[in-house]
Amino acid sequence: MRPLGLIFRGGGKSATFLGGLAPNEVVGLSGKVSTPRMRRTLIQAFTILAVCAVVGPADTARGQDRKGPGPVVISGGTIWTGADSGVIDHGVLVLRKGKISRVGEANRPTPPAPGIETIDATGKYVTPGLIDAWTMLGIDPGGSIGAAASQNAADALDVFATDVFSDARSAGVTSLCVEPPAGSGVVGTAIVVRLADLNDLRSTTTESTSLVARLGLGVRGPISRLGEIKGLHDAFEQAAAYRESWDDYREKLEEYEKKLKDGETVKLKKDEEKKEEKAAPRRRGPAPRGRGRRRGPRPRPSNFASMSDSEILAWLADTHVPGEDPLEDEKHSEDETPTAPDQKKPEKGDGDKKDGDKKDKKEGDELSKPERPAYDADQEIIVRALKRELPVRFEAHRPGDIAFALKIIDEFHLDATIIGATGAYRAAERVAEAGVPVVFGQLTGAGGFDRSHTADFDAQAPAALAADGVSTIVIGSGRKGGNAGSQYLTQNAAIAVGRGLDEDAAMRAITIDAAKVCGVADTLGSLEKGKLADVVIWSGHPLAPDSVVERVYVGGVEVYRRAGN
Amino acid sequence: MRFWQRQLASIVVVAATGVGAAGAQDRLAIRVGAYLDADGKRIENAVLIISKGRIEDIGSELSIPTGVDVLDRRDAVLGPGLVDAHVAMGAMGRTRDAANAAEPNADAAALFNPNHEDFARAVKSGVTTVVLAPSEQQFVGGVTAVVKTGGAIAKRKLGAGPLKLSLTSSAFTLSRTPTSLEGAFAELRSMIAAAKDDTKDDSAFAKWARGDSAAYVEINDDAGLTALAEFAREQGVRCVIVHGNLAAERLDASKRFGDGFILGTYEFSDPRRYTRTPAILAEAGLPVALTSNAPRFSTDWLRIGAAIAMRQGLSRSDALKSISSTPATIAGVPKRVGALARGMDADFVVYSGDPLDLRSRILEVFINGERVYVADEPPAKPEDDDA
Repeated sequence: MRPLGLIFRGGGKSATFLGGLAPNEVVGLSGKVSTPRMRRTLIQAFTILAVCAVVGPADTARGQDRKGPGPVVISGGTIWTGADSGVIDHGVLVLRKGKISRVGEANRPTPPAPGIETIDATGKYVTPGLIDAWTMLGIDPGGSIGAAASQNAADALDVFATDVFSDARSAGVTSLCVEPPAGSGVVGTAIVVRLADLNDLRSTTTESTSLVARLGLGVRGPISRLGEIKGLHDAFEQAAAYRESWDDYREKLEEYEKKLKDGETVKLKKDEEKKEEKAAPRRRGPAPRGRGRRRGPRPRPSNFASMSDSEILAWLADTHVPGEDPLEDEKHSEDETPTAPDQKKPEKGDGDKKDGDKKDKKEGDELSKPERPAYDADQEIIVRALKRELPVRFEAHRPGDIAFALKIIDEFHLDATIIGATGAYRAAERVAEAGVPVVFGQLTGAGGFDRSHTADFDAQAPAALAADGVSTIVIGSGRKGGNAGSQYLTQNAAIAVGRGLDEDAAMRAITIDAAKVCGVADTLGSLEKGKLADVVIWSGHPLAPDSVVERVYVGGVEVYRRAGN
Repeated sequence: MRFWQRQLASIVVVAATGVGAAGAQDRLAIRVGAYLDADGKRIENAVLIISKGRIEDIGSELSIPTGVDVLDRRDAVLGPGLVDAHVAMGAMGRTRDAANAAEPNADAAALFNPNHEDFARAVKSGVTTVVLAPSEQQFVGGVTAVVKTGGAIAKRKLGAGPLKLSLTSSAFTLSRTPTSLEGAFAELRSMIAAAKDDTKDDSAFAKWARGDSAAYVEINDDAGLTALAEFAREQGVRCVIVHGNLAAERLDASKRFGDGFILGTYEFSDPRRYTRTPAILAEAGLPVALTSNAPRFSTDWLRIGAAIAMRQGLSRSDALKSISSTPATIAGVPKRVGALARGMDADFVVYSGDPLDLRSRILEVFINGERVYVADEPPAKPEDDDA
């Protein structure tokens, strides 16, 4: 039995420690409690869980409620669902336990009931919480030098910039896809931030949702466009080679182990190792590189706040490593299982090469252990994109750059989205043919200056692309948005309508289609039964100039109400 | 070149269809779905009659005189040609004097290049009149010029606008005096004293020094606002504050500037602190004009800026005025441009809907009754719309 480190991804409350829980004991809570230490530990665990459960509902304003806030009935308004139900003129929407439990026509007036908040939305508009599919809100824009694939926007997110996030939310924006700061090439991974509890943003921040590659924007690396193009192509090509070398290694290793297993002298030894491996296949990672670091980061759940207690316990069990003490230095460092992508790998020739290695060499001279390729965190991330586990956000503006991006997407079979795309209307047919979604940023250019990468900019681009058959068109606030862009999302969408984009398409571009390119369409982006209750009530049509946001709900919790409402 | 192509195209269109007040005697009537009057009120089913480049009459109960060409725009809404209060079109980076920070007699009209592409862009954004202002790097920049962005070149200059001063940090460099804000005030004091002594001096600076006219004074957000309020009271001079985007946070000082404020550029990276300023100042009864600061920013930001300010509480009426009649009044041309009313220049924009709604498309732009811009057809919708 060993203690277990539990890393919460929560701003400030970084690490909570649950001492001495073995997985079977945690999962089987009703089982035997054998020692006083176990008992104490279980009590601790229950206390923490109980506190979570109690603190949540009492603190509904902060969106922390695990069970969900009280039911809210919004009736009488025009509901823009973003789903099959389309626009419901006189609709009713019921929010319950943080989710949408009903959306439909308001046939009869909802009788007031105790504990149920009833809102008369007659004459108002009700929409899903808006999703800004392209922003750097809360990210320090500077410092593009040294951008790398393994960097994550979450690490640059200023969780203390609550005013910035609250401005966005009071403009109806409830989720953001946040990209890493400036730079060109493969610059890191983007995250999705749901603006629930602004004092604990990390709890509603996803892991990396997509890899960000950029073309024509950089000061980093090659200055010429050709150099940049080559650099980007190389990045994917090298990752493909890296992936191949690992695949090759795994194959040889399997062969090698098979042979070892057949050999009698080493049989016992290997069996022992096998057992260990089976017990914790995910954690049998190698020792971290360098001194002073005890271990690489554990695989962690993306979102504790949305997990149920039993899910958390299951996760604890799953990530626990028998026979390993995080407080002691690595004893059984490396082995043959390839590392999880987010785990650090030892450099070759680490001091603690296993005893087994030496024995292997002695006892089976004709067998040589295959040499493991060097671990590379950046390559690991790009490999995930190559496996289509991680979508790629490909920012390109000039038509030529977009054509090149499409080429890479095709060549490496990427699950990709074109970002920026200010000049895309000139390459519209190709974009349509490739079937990739397009995310636009700010639709009005800077004017006479600073147009190096947006020279072909035209606010007509979204309409032009729609006309040419690009099916998913998304409007975000873009890289020019800086620290306030998201609050202008509806105005940016209105500009697209003013230049010919269908109004419904413009609404989809900031809700459900935005959710699709951000990978959150199963829970967000439209008003459908079972989706998360992120809802905005507007005084009029969201794209009209004098409409204002009256109320915002995130997870069924009211997070904004306009003064006087 | 593009500009002239467009000009040529519109002339061809005008010749082919027989519309547009090309000749002086020509009159033209336009039937519209609605128009916005000087207060921003929407007047439905109206008729606009143009004669000699001016608005002969406009209203909802008008009968169209016989023999007048009629343009049918009953699907459209008319708004006044927009007025941008503070631009450097065609002169970006050319109004700084390396040797003299104070050039009270400099005239921005001297740099007016009507063929510059900046003006063609402005027309496309519905901006028909602009105030060309000297650079913020000039402590006393000289006289601004009020010009039109399109139409017959002979009719482009409306006249001289207010004097322009700058108390921003970029006006102060070590190579010329003044090198500081307090130095600038000291220098202004002596310049004002000299101008007051010479009663025959009728230069723009002298008129300002005597309190006869207001000058544009550019500041860095709120820096210098309070000091300037004190200085203006002491000297009895009038100022229009340029770029006082934080003026709402110094409301007591701001209320001393009854000649108005020029705010903006408002764009999609501005915090609420800036964008709520127009609403708060207008609420306090102060005239508010917006600017795009073109060509640094696209003139599109003028109308978008009004929409941004509306979302922060600026009324429809004040939002429209901030990009039409108020800047025209501040620039000294309220009888010529900035509103759709009898006797004014026939400068107007034809929109597909409400002019203040960004969803509305600019279809046509007229200056002096002449059509100077026609939008391309919007992209066709896909045949098979699976939405």
